Amino acid sequence: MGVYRRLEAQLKPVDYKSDIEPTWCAGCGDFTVISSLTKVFSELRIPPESIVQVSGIGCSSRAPLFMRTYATHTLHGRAIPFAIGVKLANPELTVICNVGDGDLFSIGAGHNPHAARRNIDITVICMDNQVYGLTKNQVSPTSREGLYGSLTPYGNIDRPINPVAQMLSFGATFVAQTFSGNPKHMTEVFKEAISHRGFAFVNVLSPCPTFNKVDTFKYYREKVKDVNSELPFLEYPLVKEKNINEEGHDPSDFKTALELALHDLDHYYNPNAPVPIGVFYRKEEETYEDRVSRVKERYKAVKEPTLELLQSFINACKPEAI
Amino acid sequence: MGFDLVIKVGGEGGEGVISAGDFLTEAAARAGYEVVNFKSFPAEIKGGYAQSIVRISDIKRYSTGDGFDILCCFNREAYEFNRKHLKEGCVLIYDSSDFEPEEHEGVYLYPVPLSELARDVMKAYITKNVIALGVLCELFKIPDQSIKDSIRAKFLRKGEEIVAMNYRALETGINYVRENLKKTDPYIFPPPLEPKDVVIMEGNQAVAKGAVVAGCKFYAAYPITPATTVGNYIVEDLIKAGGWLYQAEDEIASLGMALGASFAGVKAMTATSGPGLCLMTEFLSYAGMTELPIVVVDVQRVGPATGMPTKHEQGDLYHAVYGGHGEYPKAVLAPTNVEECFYLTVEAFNLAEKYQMPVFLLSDASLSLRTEAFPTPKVENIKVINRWVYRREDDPEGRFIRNDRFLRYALFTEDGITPVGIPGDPNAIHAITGLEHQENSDPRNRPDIRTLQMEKRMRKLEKLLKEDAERFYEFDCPYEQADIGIITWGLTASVAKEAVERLRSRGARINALYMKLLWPVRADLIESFARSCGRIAVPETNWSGQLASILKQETHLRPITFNIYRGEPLIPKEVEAFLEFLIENPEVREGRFTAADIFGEERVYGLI
Repeated sequence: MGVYRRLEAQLKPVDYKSDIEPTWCAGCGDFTVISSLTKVFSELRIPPESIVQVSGIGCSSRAPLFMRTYATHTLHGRAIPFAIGVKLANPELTVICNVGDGDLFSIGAGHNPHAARRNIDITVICMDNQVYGLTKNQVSPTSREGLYGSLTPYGNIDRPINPVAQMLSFGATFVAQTFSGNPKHMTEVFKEAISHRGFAFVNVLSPCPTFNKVDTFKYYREKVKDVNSELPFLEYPLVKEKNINEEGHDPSDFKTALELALHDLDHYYNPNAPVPIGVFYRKEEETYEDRVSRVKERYKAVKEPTLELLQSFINACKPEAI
Repeated sequence: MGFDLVIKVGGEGGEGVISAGDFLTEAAARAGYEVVNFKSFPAEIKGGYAQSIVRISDIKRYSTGDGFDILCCFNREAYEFNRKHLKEGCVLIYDSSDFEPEEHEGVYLYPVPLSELARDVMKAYITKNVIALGVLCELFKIPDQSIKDSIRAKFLRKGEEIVAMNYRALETGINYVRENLKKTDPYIFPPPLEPKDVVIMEGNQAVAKGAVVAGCKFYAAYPITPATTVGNYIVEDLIKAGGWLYQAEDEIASLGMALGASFAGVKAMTATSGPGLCLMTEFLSYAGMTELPIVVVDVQRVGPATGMPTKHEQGDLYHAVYGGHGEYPKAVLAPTNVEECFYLTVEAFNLAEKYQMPVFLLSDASLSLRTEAFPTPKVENIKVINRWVYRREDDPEGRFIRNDRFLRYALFTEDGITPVGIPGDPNAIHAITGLEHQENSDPRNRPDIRTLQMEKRMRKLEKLLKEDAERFYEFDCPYEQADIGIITWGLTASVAKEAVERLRSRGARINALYMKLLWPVRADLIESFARSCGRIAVPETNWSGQLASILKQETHLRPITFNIYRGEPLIPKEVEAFLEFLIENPEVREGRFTAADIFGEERVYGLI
């Protein structure tokens, strides 16, 4: 996480809220996302002016507009490339993508593998409600089979993708899943994600009260189970399942992380299976920006070129120089 | 008439045809001569017909002319392509170990077993092109030291042995001529002139150098022929100047990244070609709505679809002008030669920064590969404009702050331009959105706000037309009343210049307008130009006459169009023939003409 400077005095979470009232439906999971985010900004003492939030299109992607930081509400699926541009232009900024499941895994699916494998220091928060909400009820790449939507009156016949496993396999150095019904958990996960140096991905199970009548708060409340025992948890009844690490999963263990992640969609097919949440994987690794600095050093890059330097680029094309 | 020599080298792609042409170009520039070079090759790694044409003159020439004086064929295919252009007085050097040409009356023939020499004497087939250069040096007295300098510069990276091997290949060519051939033709490379202070650049290289000089700090690349080399040329300079090149996963991402960088406060660009521009279209519209400065270089190639990737066409003007949903302000610039590739790239950045909008630079496949010598640009004389960045101390009355919100899209400025807030500044925190928005950038779709914001954005073009448009129109109007006025853009303008000169020297009264700003259009200037001409002719290398259509839309002009779409630039002779046709047929006042109308059966003439 790059920041200009930490704030001396802590701003209140409300200071990171804009005067635009969210336009989401009552009961939308995304409300928790902005309240958790503003809380984390406050706790980490990040100045609002050094945060850039980039979103795509959809219900989730309105989130940055409801907060008081620099923000760009871009195009459907294109938050990640835009965010990379921002980060590379000014690595001191804290860059966060607020995106949806359709945004990130359907139209924008070509972008996230490359941001992840390059370990660009941005945080991607996917508000996953397993449905297209703003266009009024179509299935998304994370929708379960059989879900009815306006374009699937016969029920969804596609199998869903597994966001957590996918991002792990792309090489993301921080991968987590959290649930809108547990703001405390979400705040902790966001805090770790934003503090992480490198590409961080958080999948937020964020139910849509209007269109998705299957994957509801109630449904998840009974199913989510934390993979890390050290995170503050859980006021809900747990489903006993052997596959979830009872002692608490060590997030530096990639193999187990992947194994746990593979259970993510089990509950779609097995009513007794839990939904794993928590930090699956975390690894401190050289970021893209670190590698950029190394190359720049090798090339003796200067921040502001002098006229002499620019002239030398041109003079290199003189016939006697060729 | 001064010195004017065209040497053409043809052969198979991968045989060093292109680099042979480059070496000759450098030799001519080192000797103080004006030089223009045109290259073309197929869209394959190896194989197919490749050619390089080098025109050396003592006065500035803008095109590579109509044909060649000296032709050097590396193989039969090159000969077959060019035999119809072998006219009396030409020289033909050919690989006699590959083929024997037919009889050509008045053509000077020099058989040289190029392949055999490369294989048997040099034991390295790849030296064939350098042997050929040795032959050219000895026959036409081209200074071989200059070729050696170029060889050294090009091959030193591969080691001294490679340099030495190429020197030996050059000697092999020279010795073969000394021992086996008797010079019969009259062509001699002239004595060196006083060296001029020039640079030699390729079109895409000039774009790259111009961008760095203009202050570009971020370049997003996705490879596509013929735009890729802009990235190849820019990358090292860009890093040294504190910037960065990012190879994106696709063109959508590359424009998105460039816009992200622009939002974060740095000058950014991307370069692409037709198919890539199609992918970028949604983001172009976003840039217009959010008023982000951005430079998009489109090195046009033949479309539609993947078309002919390495070939020339002026087919993307409509896309640049009309591309994108909805309407937004933009400017479209088009260089006519390599020197302008450099200066117009700087201008593109200046316009983008000044007006906070996307600016296109329309280059093309031929221009991208063309090499030219031109006076060395002096960086200290180049004007660089930066965007208007909000600073609290410059706004004591807080005009751009209302209810504690920064008014990124304030409506009260006369020209529609408002200061940008750069992330990191606590006084200008704001969000931008592709949704219609009010002054503080909150999304709104009220009719009054929509109307006012639309007018704010489009007002920028009025200012551009008033303050900046005129210098991009090059008028060449020696006649108070000319018979024909010719309007051209891009590489066609360079070709037309030569055609116009030739016709004028024969008494034709022709005025010319070379347009380098294609959008927006100063209708008043163009109409007053048209009033000095009986008829308006617009030759273009596309099917429909795209500039002509835009002129029809924006002015009262009804141009006579001449459209060639074979994948090659026009040559001066063709433009000349078209204008002559108009002179001979004064009743033709408007309409569309193609090569078939002017040349009949011979319509596919061209360079090859």
